[in-house]
Amino acid sequence: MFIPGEIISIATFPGTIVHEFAHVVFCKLRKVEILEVVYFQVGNPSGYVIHEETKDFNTTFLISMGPFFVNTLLCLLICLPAYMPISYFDLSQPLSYFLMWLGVSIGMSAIPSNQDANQIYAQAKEEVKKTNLLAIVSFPIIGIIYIFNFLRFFWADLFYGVAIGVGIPSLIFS
Amino acid sequence: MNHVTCDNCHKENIPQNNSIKIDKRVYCEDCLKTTFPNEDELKNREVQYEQDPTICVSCGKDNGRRPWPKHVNLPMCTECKTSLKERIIPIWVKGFMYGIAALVIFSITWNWKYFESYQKINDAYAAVDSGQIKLASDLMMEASSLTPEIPDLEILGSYYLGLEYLNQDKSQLALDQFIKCRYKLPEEYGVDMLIDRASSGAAFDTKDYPLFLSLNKAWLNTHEEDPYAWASVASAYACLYAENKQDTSKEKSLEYLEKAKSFKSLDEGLLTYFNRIEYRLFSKEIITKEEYDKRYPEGWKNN
Repeated sequence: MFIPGEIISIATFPGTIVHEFAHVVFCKLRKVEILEVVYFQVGNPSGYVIHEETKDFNTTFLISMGPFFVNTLLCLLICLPAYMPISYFDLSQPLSYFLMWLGVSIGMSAIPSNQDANQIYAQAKEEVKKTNLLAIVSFPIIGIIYIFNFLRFFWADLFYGVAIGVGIPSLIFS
Repeated sequence: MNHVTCDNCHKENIPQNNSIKIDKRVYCEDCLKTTFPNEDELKNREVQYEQDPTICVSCGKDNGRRPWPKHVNLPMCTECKTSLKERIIPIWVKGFMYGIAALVIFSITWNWKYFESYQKINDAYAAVDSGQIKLASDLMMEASSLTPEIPDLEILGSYYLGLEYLNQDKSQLALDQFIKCRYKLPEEYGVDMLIDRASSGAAFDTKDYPLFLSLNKAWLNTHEEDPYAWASVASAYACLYAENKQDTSKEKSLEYLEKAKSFKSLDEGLLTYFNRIEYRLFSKEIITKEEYDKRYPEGWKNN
């Protein structure tokens, strides 16, 4: 089923805001100056952060991967409590469904963009020569990010959000 | 504002931001256009743009001869820096993120009762597995009080309480609990059968032995492969014999008792039950299981 990207981004706008906010938070944590932020817009990209050039690979890695950690964690924290009354007790509470939508939409925006992967790749190529362990580890991660972003056309982002927001709670409370 | 002199036309007082250095020579805007009309001509040349440190890069505010503090190597006035900071995390984003944090806390707090209830249900099932039926009932009732919007929990609590009463030979109390569960639990819980058993026990307790017999016979009709069913009919006939002293009742009782004994696998509880029936037939006295166990802790023997 093809649904225009704008509609998907509007339906899952909390995820985009959290994704960009995670970039901003990691920029601040690593003392990287930010020049411009767009938290949400209808269009492509639906959000972005422009920051000064990073000085070390760890910083680049953290800023680029920050949304993955923050969005995934928030998705789980929101969905986990909401899952129980719906699935285990079969209760149809609107609040629980709202929380599930919020959590899954945040989880859907967890995977870094190709732009984020490009930034890691550009520095990882150099760092790997210095046998930087994180740089070595980052190559398969970059590959997964590229594949995932290609598979977005086939709803890979939705599958990821559902896997975190519904799959993990169902494993815990099976 | 800093000023420079064009090395090409020697014009003075050109704002620094309106000039550019090419191969270390300063050009004003006009000279840049006339000397290098095509961008290609700048290839392989050292092009250097020096930002005037006294002019804010964002709003163009002039700070006289004093340079502005730098932001990412660019001069920026205090107001613009503050404004940029506000734009980086605007109030609505702060509000949104606080809202998300509040929702997470609210969601965990609001749904905590379901986690507690879930835990108690699991503990109740574990208690059932370990034979602690009373504990299972208590835990299920606690789960029910935590989440009263789930009626099944109270029903399950009643079910386990009924089982516990049945174990204690409190048949009427058990019956009251099982009736609450009727039509509300899946067939595998065997509520109808338990109601029959509790009704039978209640009939025994109220000394209504004809009813006790007919209920046990009805049970036997559907459980012919169960030695307990045969023994329960023998028990009912033994009660009738103890009451009316008619030999036909005794003969019937012995007949059903023999059939019950003919089954291959007989558990300890069943053997004790046989012993109680034999005692009843011998003594013509009907006593409760509790009283029987008190009198004959090692079992009754016909000496």
